[in-house]
Amino acid sequence: MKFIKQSNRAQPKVSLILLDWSVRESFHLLDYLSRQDLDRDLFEVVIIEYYSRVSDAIRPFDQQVDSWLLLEMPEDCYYHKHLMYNAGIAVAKGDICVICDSDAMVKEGFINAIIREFDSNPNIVLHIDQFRNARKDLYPFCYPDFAQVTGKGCINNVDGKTRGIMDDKDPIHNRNYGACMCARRADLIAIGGADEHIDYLGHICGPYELTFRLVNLGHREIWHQSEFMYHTWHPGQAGEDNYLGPHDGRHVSTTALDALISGRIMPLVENETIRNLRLIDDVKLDAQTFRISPAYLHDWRKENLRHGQNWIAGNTTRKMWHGFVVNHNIDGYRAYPRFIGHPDFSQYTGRFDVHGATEPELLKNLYNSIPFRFRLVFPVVALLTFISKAFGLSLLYLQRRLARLAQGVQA
Amino acid sequence: MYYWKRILRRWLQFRSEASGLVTGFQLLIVNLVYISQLRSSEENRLVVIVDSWREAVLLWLLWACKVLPRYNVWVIRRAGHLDSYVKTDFDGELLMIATSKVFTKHYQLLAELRRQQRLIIL
Repeated sequence: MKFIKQSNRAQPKVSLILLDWSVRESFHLLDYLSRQDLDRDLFEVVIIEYYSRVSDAIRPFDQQVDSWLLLEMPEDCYYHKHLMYNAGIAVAKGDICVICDSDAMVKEGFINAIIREFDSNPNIVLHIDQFRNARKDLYPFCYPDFAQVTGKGCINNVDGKTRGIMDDKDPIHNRNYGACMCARRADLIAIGGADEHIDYLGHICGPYELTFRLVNLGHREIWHQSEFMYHTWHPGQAGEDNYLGPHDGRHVSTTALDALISGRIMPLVENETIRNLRLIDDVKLDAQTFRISPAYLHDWRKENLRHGQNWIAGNTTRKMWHGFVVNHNIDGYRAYPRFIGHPDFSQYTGRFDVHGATEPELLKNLYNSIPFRFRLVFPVVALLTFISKAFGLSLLYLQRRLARLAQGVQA
Repeated sequence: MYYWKRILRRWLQFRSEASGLVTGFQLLIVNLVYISQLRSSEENRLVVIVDSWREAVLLWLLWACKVLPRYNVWVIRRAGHLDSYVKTDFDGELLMIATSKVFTKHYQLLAELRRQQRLIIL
């Protein structure tokens, strides 16, 4: 691990943490940061490179970079963004840490908008959504103006705001949680920093994992309603041919969702340096102080994640079956209905327990423990759900066909 | 073609749900069945939060078939729907049960509710 550069800003308010794992082709965000409408000493830019590459893409803007740290992980080790977040949090000098895309455009008031939001709202985690344009003629990045990005080819512009911001049905899937997340550094350290669990290795991860645990801590999640980032198309933006940890089918980590559901605040695997920062006040950081667990060098090796040409799918740690939580200990397997885990029902602990020496035996015992008439109900409910969903989709299809036909008649 | 693919996917989902591979709506039913067996004094103050009218209708059908007791059901399809329930139904302390699906969809509001009321997330 080594610093290419170390920040000499005395007391910045904001630290922007930008990541690279030897893949970024453009860091044009740095150019937009040079045009901000506030004193340059009020923010610093921290670049964290996972491997050892000194990126040529940064060179044109290196005056804008305050700290530049190479983690020097071995090339055969898969990337883990959360480790980079932790390095950024540890290195940052600002009160507010901003984890954001390094290949996006921002307007002149971007940093000011973040500072104003934190000044007026204590205990928040702030997100800024992103307009995305799919036009391939804007690649390689050619400095389009903002109207071009929100105009033709923009996939999420709804009346001047992003579709995600307007959405109140399923924001978790429709907003871009990875675009820009801002939180106080002290809060990030208080929740143990980003989780370095192997479930977050590769593409299925993001600052939303921090957001969820900050919400569990009692912070309010705010999405800026007037400030946005602007992103143009580039190859590989959807994480093609990446290792994927456990996710919900729409690339949101189930481990992060479990943290949100269970109300967990601390990470499953805490970084040693972050723990020291949390427990000891006067930790001074140099290149040697940021600790990376030696176990990662083995556990995150690419060859351990591949089966032939394909990545091995990440398995979820959550074990659920028909509404039962399945636990494994030295005595064997134990299952209980999920509601028993709630404090209000703690007096019933053990009442509905089902045991088994092996997992198949437990599942068999569980199946037999459910009364026969309820076992009949499950396929009926599943069939009714299928029919109603199929019926709903057919109606939607007909509705759209009719609308198109009507448009054709009018034309 | 796109819609037929989606219908096919729902069919596959049905098959996996029926064989217990996916914890869908049945997760809620199983837990409600066991809660009803406890014959808790809180039964009348129990509110089930779901995210579609389909699930609400299925719960009603299960009550009609005498499989489950009748519960207060809040259908929260959009963030604003929660406010209207909170304004009208908050008489005393409630015990609420929500599926993880509805919780993650509206976690900003429900996490706040979790701090104020007893909320079980399945």
